[in-house]
Order: sequence, then structure tokens, then C-alpha cells
Amino acid sequence: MRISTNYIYNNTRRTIQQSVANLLKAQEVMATQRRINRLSDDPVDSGRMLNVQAMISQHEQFLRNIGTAATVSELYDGAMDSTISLLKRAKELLLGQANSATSTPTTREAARIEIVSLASQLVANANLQYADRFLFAGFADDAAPFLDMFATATPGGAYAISVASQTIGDPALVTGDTYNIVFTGPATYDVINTTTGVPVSVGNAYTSGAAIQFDGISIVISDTPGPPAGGEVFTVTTTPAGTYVGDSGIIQLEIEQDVWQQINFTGDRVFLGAGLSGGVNLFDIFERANVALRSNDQVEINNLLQEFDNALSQTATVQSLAGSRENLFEKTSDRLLDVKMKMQILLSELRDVDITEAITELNRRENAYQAVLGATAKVLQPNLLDFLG
Amino acid sequence: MSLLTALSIARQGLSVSQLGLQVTAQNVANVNTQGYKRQRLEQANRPFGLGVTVLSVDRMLDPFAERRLLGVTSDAARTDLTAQAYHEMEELFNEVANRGLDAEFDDFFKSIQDLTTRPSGVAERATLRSRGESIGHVFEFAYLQMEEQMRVQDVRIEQIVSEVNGILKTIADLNRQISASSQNLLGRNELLNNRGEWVRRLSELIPVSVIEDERGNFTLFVEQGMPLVSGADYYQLEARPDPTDDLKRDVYWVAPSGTAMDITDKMVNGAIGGAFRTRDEIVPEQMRRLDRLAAEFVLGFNEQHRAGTGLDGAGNRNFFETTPVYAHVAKGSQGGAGFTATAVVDETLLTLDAYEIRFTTAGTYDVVNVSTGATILSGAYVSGGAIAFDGISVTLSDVSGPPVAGDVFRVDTVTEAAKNVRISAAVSASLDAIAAGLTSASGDNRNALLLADLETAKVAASGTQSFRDMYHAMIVQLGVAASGENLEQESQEVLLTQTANMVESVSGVNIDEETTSLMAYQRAYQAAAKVISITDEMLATLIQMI
Repeated sequence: MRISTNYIYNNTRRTIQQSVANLLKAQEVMATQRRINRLSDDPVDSGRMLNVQAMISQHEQFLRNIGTAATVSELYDGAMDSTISLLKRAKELLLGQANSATSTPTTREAARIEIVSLASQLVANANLQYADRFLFAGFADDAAPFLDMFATATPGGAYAISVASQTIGDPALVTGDTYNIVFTGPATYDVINTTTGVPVSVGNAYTSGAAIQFDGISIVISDTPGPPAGGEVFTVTTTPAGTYVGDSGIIQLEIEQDVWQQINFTGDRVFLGAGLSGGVNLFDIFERANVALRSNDQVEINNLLQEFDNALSQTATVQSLAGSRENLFEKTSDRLLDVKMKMQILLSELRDVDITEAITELNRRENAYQAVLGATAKVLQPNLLDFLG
Repeated sequence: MSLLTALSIARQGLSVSQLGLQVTAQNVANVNTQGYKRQRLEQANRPFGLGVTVLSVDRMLDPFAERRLLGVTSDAARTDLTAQAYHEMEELFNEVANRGLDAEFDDFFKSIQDLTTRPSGVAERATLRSRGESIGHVFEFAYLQMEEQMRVQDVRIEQIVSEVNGILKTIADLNRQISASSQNLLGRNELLNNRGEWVRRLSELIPVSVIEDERGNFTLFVEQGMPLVSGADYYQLEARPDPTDDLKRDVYWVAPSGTAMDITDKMVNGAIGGAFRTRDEIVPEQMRRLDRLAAEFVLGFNEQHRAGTGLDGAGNRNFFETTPVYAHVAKGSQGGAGFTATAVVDETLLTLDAYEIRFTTAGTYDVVNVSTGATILSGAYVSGGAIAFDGISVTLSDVSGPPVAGDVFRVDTVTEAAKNVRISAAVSASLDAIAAGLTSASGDNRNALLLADLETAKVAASGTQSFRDMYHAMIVQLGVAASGENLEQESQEVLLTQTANMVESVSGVNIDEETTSLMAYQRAYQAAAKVISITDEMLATLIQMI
């Protein structure tokens, strides 16, 4: 084949271009430390890389979820601990009063007062919060699931006066009886205990907005919109601690691919025994203890000792459930961390360049480039004119 | 035989050597001229020993290689453009180097998981909404960049047409000069070289073929199409707007009489071929894939979101705005009807298939599902009347006139979906509208768990892939195509180099070769001069004798 001058120049230009292009490619790999810098460098491995990255990210999220779940489990565990202490103390008190010999009205009253106080603490336990959310409320976690003891004053008809507030002053004084506040005239009222039939106080002077207090209850009635009239009656009742206003919603989190794990306990199951065969309503037994101690019902007191044992075992079961969840979270977490690490190694293998290999390649191409330049010089220089005279 | 004859012969030798020198000088001077074909003096001896004569100054060329060069030049120009188009698109979706849609999906689903741990949390809801907005932005950005890439091609097409027109005029001019110069030996070769070079430059822009007959009549055609130059006559090309899309250009062939023909379908090679392929195939394919992903994502996510209840107790609301209907008059429709209203009326019935409203007569139409091929509805046309099918409702009216038989109108809910991923009005107005639960209870995270599942659940592409899988598949396909186009471009470049080398081999000047010729002619000249001088001496001797 005949070689023209331009052929020589074009060819040498082309080989230099190629050599420089190769050199630049090696340099890019060195600079970015990555063997894949764009999709077309290796489309298949690019796809695999993206999938691995996605999996790593998902694992990180699952670990975050487990973190939340584990914290919550610890809190439940702690709440069960306190509940068990309360139950043990209550049982101790009852035991102390179960022996007719050592039990006196004074000791019984002292025990009763403490039992009422323990019931309040139980409410506080049951209204456990974490980051402004109530943990025992099921789905309705923006409000406290358990109500403490409260009083309700119901008017007997449509009156001009109305109830401004109904509160419990001192729980220890509450009897559990029903009362009537009877207006004998526009300015006087009687308070009658309708359960015993015994009047508590008569001929009291009525002031709008002033508190009417009796037996630990405080009711405020005011002239809104108008004053009282004779014959108007308000029926006052008290409800013991432990009314449940939450729901039985099961809250789950995804702790692993397609694994949804319940992280909560609902208050109705833990404290009221709902859905359990032979389930114990903890608040109920506290109230029963309150009543039994007030009336010195020895039979009831002895029955309650067994009930409190049941309650303790029920609570211990919940605690061990919380414990086994904590175990699950720890094991899952370990496993996820392990997989994540393996994925990161795989990602690195796909994406990153072996530094020694890269340096060697760069050197190789540098040398090749210099060789091309040297060879080109040899080809371009000689000319027939140099040799003619 | 006389001395005078010898003198005459020697004189011819001198002038032929002079001409040979001139030809060599021309070759040497033009060693770097693009498109120059080296010239060679063809000598022949005169009969009866009466000296030497110049037969011709030949242009050395290989007509087959020349013709092939036109073809590979067009191919190389085309693949240069298409490979470049893939490069640019690759950069848009370079998930291996930059944060892109993949990272956005990642963050989006992460924020849903966070929502499951705290469904009524203001921070969690706000983050989710913000990440949703972000996804919309990234989709839109990628779409707009590709749209821009498409529009740029039309500018390029106009520029190419303009350049081509200039070249056609130049070639016709050269043809005129060439036919006028058939007597001038040296001058004609240069004109032919120039014309050849212009034709080669033309082949970089549009696909051309040349027919030259023995009498030298030169005709240049669009490859497999209309003539562009015939002798000293030339035609022109025009870039006219596509009747259905003002921003697009079609290429027309225009005769001096004014007759015009749409030759866009012939523009398949050269830079213009690359521009059309980029504008009509390469970029739109990616845009449609992106649209499809956006449409499926919005539809699927909304479906699950509607199943849940917001904190305000209301349910059945979308998280994203429903993808709007895309309605377009198909190219080739002759009537004057157009769309005056489009809407999605029931998103639970959307199929994401493509539809066509085909007018069988001027007053009746069929609605055909193009994806399945089924005719789903036929009706009588009423201007301003709504046509409803599969959750979509469109209204056609006589915009500039009634429709005619054969008119086609395209409707779908996928095209331009990527441009329209937005947070719904309900969720924009209030974070409470985000349906994390199945009830409005503040701790209810059941719907959020189901929404989070969408990251890996196979709900896209008729239940075969998850959204992220679909996106990964899309960009891997892009990578494969880009890599393939690169290879194609490289091999076209090699072919071009090889063909150019073939041409060079025959037509290129070799300095050393010319130097040798130089020496040969110099010696011949010297020898002829010597013959003259000796003959002169001999004549002088003869005259002295008288």
C-alpha cells in the first residue's frame, strides 16, 4: 500500500490521541479512586452497585427503628418493675391486716390510706410517657390512657345553676358513697349521703363559685346562667382510679425486611387483664382492698391476697415478654449490622479501585505514552531533502 | 532526420520537463490541502520519433474509495452526535457519581419509616412532605434537561440546513466553472478537487450520493431521494415547523418553482441524521421511561395513601397531585379540531395505557387503547362534547374547523408525568392530611407501614418490580445503550480512518516521492538542455562550413 505524507501525519496523530485518552482514563481512576465513574463504564456493575447501596440504606433504617423499639422496651421493663414493687407493697399491707389479732381500726385505716396512695402511683406508672407519647395507650397515644379517681356531679334536671368544677381533694377521705347536694332554698343547701342515708351537713350557705367540700370531694357550683331554686338536686358520685380511655391498637415497626414486630403493650391488657384468661384488673383489686380495709372484711382481705399474687404473676409475664422483645431486637440488630458490613465490603469491591493496581496501570500508560511520542519523533523527522546535496 | 528536428525534439523535452516540474511543485505546495488529489503528468511519445507530448495531467484517485468515503463520513458524523447525546443523558442520571433520583427515593422512604415510629410527629410529617417535594423537583429537573437537549437539536437542524444550502450553491457554481474550463488542463483539476471537498463536507451534514456520467454531467442527490444539484442548477432545503409542534422542525426540499416536499424521513445519516435520531428516538425514549416511572410511582403511592386516614379524620386523599392528562393532535391530521379540556375523573380506573381517538369519518370516532389494540368506545362527534373512558375525560372542539376522516388524537396519562410530580393541595395545605394511620388516632401507624413497604413491594411494571428496581433497570439500560453507542462511534471512527487511508493511499502526496520526481524532471531538463546545446554547436559547426 502506498503511504502518503498525510497518511503518516494522520496516523501518528491518531496513535498519540489514543495514548493520551488512555492515560487520561487511568488518571481519572486514580483521582476518583473509583473504577466506575459513569454508568457506561460498566453498566451491569453499576446496577449491582445501586442495589447494594439501596440495601445498605434500608438496613440503616431498620437499625434506627430497632433503636426506637429497644428504648421503648426498656421503658416498659422499668414500668413493670415499679408496678411489681407497688403490688408487693400492697400485698404486704393486706397481709399485715389479715390477722384479726394484730389488726386494729387504726392500723387498717393507715393501711387503707397507703393503698389509696399506691393506686394513684399505679395510675402514674400506667401513664408512662416517651417523647410526649403515652406508651400504654394503644393508638390514642396523645392523651393519658388511665384516669385517676374523679368525681361527677350530675344535675337532676335543667337548672339555671351549673357545675363549674368537680375534683377530688384528698383521695384518702373518699368513701365511694353517692351523695346528693340538695338546694333547700335559693341560698341554702344540704349534703346527704344517699348510700348510708346519713346527712353530711345541712343548712349550708350557698355562694356562687365557692367550693362545696365533703368527704374528700370538692364541687364548685356557680350561677351560670342564674341562681339556684329550692328543690334542685345534684347527684355526686366518685369513680375509683383506673378508668381506661386508650384503645387496644397494636403498634408495629419494621425491624427487618418484611418483618413487622409489635413494640407496644396496651394498657387494657397489662393493667386490666383484658383478653387474658383469668386476667386480673389491677386497679379493681386496689379498690377492693380499699373497700375491704374500710369495712374490715377479713374474708375479702384473704381472697385479695390470692388476687394480688395473680396480679404479680400477670405483671411478671408482661415483663418477661418485654425482655424477650429486647433480646429479639438485640439479635436482629447484630444480624443487620453483620449484613450491612458485608454489603459495604461488596460495595467497595464493586466501586473502588485497588490502589496498587491503579498506580501500576497509570505508570504503564505513562510509559506507553512516552514510547509513542518517541516513536513518532523517529517517523516524522527524516526527509529525503535532508540527504540530498 | 535533421538537426533542426533534434532541436525541436529537445525543445519539447524542455517544455514537458517544465510542465512536470510545475505539476510536482503543485503537488508539493498542496501536500496539506484537504481534499487535494495528487496530479501526475502523463507523457506519450509522438509517432515517427518526433518527440514527446503531454497526454494529460491526471488526478490520481480511486472512485470507489471516494464514494465509500462519503458514506462513512456521514456515518461517523451521525454517531458522533448520538454518542454525545448519550453522554449528556448519562450525566443527568449518573447515580454512581452524584446524588440523583435514587438518593431522593432513599431519603423519601427513610422519612416514611421515621413516620412509622412517630405517626403524629410534626417534624416527621414535615420532613416527609419536603422529601416528596424534592422528588418532584429532581424528576422535573431531569425531564427539563432532556427536553432542552431535544430542543437544541432543532436549532442544530436549522443551522445544518442553512449551511447545506450555502454548499449546494457553491457546488453548482463550481459545476458551471468546470464545464466552462474543459480546455484548461491544470485549472480543471483544481476545480474538481474543490468540488470533491465540498461534497465531502456536505456528506458530514446530510446523506448524499453522486452520479457522474462519462460526459462529465454531475448530479448530487439526497441519498435515495431528491436531486440537490444538477449541473449548474441547484435546489434548496428548508426547515419548516412541524404542524403539530411549533418547536420542532421538518426538512423540506424546495424547487425553484416553489414546490416543496417533506424529506424528513430521508435525513437518516450525517449530522442531521444524528440530530433527528437524538431528537426523535434517543432522548424521547428516556423521557418516556422517566415519565412511566413517575406516573406509576404517583399512582401507586396515592392508591395506598388514599386507604389511610389523616389526623383530621378524613381519608381518601392523595399525597401527590394526580398526573395530568396529556392530549396531542397527531401529525398528519388535516382537520381543525383540538382539545379544549382534559381531566382525570376517576384515578382508580387509570390504566397508564396510551389511547388514540381515531376519526373513521368526519362525524364518528373510535377510541382505541393503543397498548392493547382494543377499540374500547365508538361514538358520534359533537364539538365541545366530552369523551370519557377509563377514568379520563377529554373534550374535542372545532378549534379552527371540524375534524376530517383519518384525523388521530393521542391521549395518555404518562407523557410529561415526570414534569408534574407535585404534592397534593390537601397535603400542601395541612400536614394533618398525611394519612399515616387507618384511623385518626395519633399513634396509628398502620398506613405508614404499608406506604414504607412500597419501597420494596413489587407494584410497578404490572407487578414485576418495585419503584426503585424500575429506576435501577432504567438507568442500567441507559448505561448499556450509552456504552453500545460509544462502541459504535469508535468503530465508525476506525472505518472512517481506514477509508480515508485508502483515499490517501491513492491520492495523497508523498513529499519524498515528489522530491524524487523533482530530481527526475530536473535531470530530464538538464539532459534536454544539453541536447540543445550540443545540437546548437553542431549547427554552428555546419554554418561555419558554409
